[in-house]
Amino acid sequence: MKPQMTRVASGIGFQLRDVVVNYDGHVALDRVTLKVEAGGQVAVVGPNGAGKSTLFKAIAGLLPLRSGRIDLEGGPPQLRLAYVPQREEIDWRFPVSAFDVVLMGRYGRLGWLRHPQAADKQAALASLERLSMGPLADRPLAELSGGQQQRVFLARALAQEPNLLLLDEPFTGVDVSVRTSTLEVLDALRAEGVTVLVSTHDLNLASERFQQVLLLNHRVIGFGVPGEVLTAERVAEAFGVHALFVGGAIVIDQCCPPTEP
Amino acid sequence: MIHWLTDPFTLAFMQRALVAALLVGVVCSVLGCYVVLRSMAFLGDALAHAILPGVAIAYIFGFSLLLGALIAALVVAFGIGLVSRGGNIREDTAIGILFAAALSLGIVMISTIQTYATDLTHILFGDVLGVGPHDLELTAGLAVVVLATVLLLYKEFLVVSFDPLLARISGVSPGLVRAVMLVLLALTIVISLQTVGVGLVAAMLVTPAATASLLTKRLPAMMAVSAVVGALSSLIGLFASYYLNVASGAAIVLAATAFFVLAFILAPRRGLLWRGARGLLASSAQHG
Ligand SMILES: Nc1ncnc2c1ncn2[C@@H]1O[C@H](COP(=O)(O)OP(=O)(O)OP(=O)(O)O)[C@@H](O)[C@H]1O
Ligand SMILES: [Mg+2]
Repeated sequence: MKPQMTRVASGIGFQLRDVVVNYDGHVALDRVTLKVEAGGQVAVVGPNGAGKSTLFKAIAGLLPLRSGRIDLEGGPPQLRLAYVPQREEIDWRFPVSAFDVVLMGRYGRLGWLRHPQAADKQAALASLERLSMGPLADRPLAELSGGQQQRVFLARALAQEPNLLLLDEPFTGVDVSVRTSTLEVLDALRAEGVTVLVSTHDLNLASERFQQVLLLNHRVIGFGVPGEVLTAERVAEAFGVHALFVGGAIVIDQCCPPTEP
Repeated sequence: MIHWLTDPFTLAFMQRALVAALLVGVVCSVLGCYVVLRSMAFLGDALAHAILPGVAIAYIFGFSLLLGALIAALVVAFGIGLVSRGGNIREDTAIGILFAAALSLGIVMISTIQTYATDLTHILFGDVLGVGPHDLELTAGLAVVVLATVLLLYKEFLVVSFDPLLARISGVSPGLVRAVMLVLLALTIVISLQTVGVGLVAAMLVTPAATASLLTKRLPAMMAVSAVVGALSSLIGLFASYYLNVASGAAIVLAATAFFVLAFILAPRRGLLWRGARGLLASSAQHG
């Protein structure tokens, strides 16, 4: 049986203007301004603690803005957001099956008190199958490998049929096959025109597979095509280390601490 | 043997006790699944103790103890929400403060009552044999309300407990769901007052659910098994209370604990015995 493709409508664009987000007084995002076109795929890179996860939560409306604004193309009613959090934020021992998790992706379109219908269950199963997780649908989440869990959360995001997808570090700690299927999903979403933001620590992946890169360290260090953003100076500015470009690959050089300005 | 089991229930008060104990066992155990999964055991315990002043006031003015407890529980539940809302005070701190204050207030008030000694034991440790017809009506009504809400809001409770961020994105407010859970917790504690008492409600909220979590892998199954464990514990506790004349709450909780210990040792895959056997097999395989 060929897995039926989940229908995904085309994407939504959005714009951040001077967005500031604070945690108990310290600044996590400092006057971030950027405009992402509908259907764009943006890699968000920056060191640990740069504010990548914070940026995603702010866009998702999960954190209050200290100042600035986020505008969605066509206004909030048009938004169908899917957000896949970083691994650390999920309770992996919760008694749910892979299917249960993906079915939760349908809750947004149900509203209070309405229970999932046959169509929702079908969509959940189709999403699981799209990530080759059909046979493991009934497995408890706790009994899946890290890569399989990652697939489940990606499947959940697909079941949400989003027009804006935020993936927080989907490539961290996964093997080649999960990485490949995640990239395949990204390619399919690009064809469907869904807007996608992906945070990653893999600068080479960012520069090879994305049309746009956002280099972040609390503030925007660079935003645009990879060739212009991932330059030696800017990477050094963001990461505080030297970056070498060896035969087209970016190598972060940890040997020499940056000289203080 | 059969007579030994059925004889007690020819008595009206025993029939009421049976119904009350079963209702409380099931309601505590089902709601308890969320208490365990969301780590709200401390909150449940605090709420239970915090209803003492309400009970004391009701006792002094001679109206329904359950009604007094209900009002006190709701006041304290919202008090905790209010104090911790701003984020300046952590929730467990807020709970600790209100818990101790309300408990102290309750003890001060009860101490002023002349005949408090026996009544206090009943409130603290349960007196299922003393459930009156009116108490039973209220217990049954509230039990239905709690169970119906848990069933109706299954999807909302699940998503808020598992992934509050997804809940918010899906338009389900975690704050609202939490408030509903607090009210259900308050109602559950109030109807448990007479069977297990304030001192032991927390155990009834936690132990059957923890037992079920060792035996199941999905939430609906966990709730079902927890309800069965809770009901059986209540039944066993009721018999112990009748034949041995011990406080019903303590007997019920001991029965539930026995189930937990059994599950802890014998649970397939996760029990001590299973893990021990696997360890032995592995080491014998290693040695040849
Ligand atoms: N809940 C929180 N409370 C207080 N400070 C926080 C909280 N979450 C993040 N921070 C701080 O905000 C800053 C940005 O954190 P964020 O998690 O957004 O970084 P990140 O770029 O996602 O890092 P990583 O690559 O490690 O995931 C960090 O300095 C962090 O210490
Ligand atoms: Mg992060």
